[in-house]
Amino acid sequence: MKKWNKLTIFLLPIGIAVNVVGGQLAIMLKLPVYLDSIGTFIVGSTCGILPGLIVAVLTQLLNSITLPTNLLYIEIGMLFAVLAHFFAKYERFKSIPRTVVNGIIAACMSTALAVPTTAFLLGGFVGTGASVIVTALMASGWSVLPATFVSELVTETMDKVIVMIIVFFILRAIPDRLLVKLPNARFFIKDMDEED
Amino acid sequence: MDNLEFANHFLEPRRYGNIIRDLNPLNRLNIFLVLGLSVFFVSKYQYGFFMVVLLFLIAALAGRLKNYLSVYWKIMLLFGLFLFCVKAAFSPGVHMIFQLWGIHVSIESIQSGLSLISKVLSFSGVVVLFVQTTEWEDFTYALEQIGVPHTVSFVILSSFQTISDLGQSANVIMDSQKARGIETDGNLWKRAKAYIPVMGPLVINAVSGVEEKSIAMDARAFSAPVQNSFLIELPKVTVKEKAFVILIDVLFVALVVGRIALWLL
Repeated sequence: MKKWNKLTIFLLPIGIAVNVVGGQLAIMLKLPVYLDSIGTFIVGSTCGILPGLIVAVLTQLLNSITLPTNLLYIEIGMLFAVLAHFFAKYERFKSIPRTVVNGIIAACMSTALAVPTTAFLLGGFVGTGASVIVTALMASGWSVLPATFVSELVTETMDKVIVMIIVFFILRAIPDRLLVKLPNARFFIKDMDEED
Repeated sequence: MDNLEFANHFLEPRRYGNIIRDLNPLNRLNIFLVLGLSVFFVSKYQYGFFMVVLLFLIAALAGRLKNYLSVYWKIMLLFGLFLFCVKAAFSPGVHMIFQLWGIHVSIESIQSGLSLISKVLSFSGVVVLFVQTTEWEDFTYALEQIGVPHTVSFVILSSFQTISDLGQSANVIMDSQKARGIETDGNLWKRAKAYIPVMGPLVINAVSGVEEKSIAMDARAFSAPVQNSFLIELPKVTVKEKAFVILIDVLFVALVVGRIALWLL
């Protein structure tokens, strides 16, 4: 295995903590979104796929300490880590409109992954705000699959678009002298090769 | 505890004086996982509820019943009660008991609800109980003993520290932003607008502290290419413990094989 970038190792706990604290803050402010994947996107886009994956998996493990059903959604965090790397690679963090599109892409893909688990394993119930929409839809005669799909898509899109905008601002605010030492620096700082 | 006693307790492996908490963390994980996964291979939902009761007994035996309950009651409420209601009200069934608008409770839906929550409850219980009976530093120590690099231990243990650190600085930043006139109460839009002024400085602060942290850790030989030493060690695994774990694993494999054989035949 190639030797790990040292700063990356120290960024991992921060990515995990940002995920957790971001989620807690959203709960504290009683926001109807989760906002618990900011750290995954930041580490995934600045450090690459593998560090992003580690952050995503460990975050989900930590979250499952209090709500073990979170383990069922572990693949979604992993998806975000991979997406973050490619968003950075194809310069999709350069402007707000692009960032919003990122959010919609991420939301659609994660919905596609989450719906089968929620609908078939948990009967449409996840224990969050989205469950209210699901039960309301089901009570008015929808079957479990479309009800789960609609509620997940609505909450996920809102969540991921906001997350992406926050990530966009944070990535812009990370100083170049730090960014340049991280594995994915070449995606963010264009004239790097000439400086070498 | 006087000084000599304090110094001497580092010479002994760490023991808790409790049969469950003194198991090697990895063996305990193994046993608990077998208990949790076995529910998915036994079709009777009564077994799942038996497991829930068994977990309570184990928690009591480990002397952690109170801590276990403090986390577990929320899961019992969310997934025991609400999930059961949703499942019972909306699952398809033939033998109707009760029907109102979209809600239709039937014998089949109640059964599918019971079978689902017995699985969710017992698996969740296993996870909660493992966390409640295990110190994280013991767990990472056990991982290092089987060859996991010490950076993994660092990442896991440091995450907990960083979470509480960042939580504290989030409160500090929130207070400062309030002093600046940002509102954190009020309607949804106002609260949403308060999120970014708190999260922004928080993350950027944490990220830019990374460099100093890495220098500080390297000054303490974090990445020195040598064998690590440990301040606290765990007791050696006894033959009896090993035999018990192997017995449980064999039983579990037999259960899985038997179940698959039943499906196929």
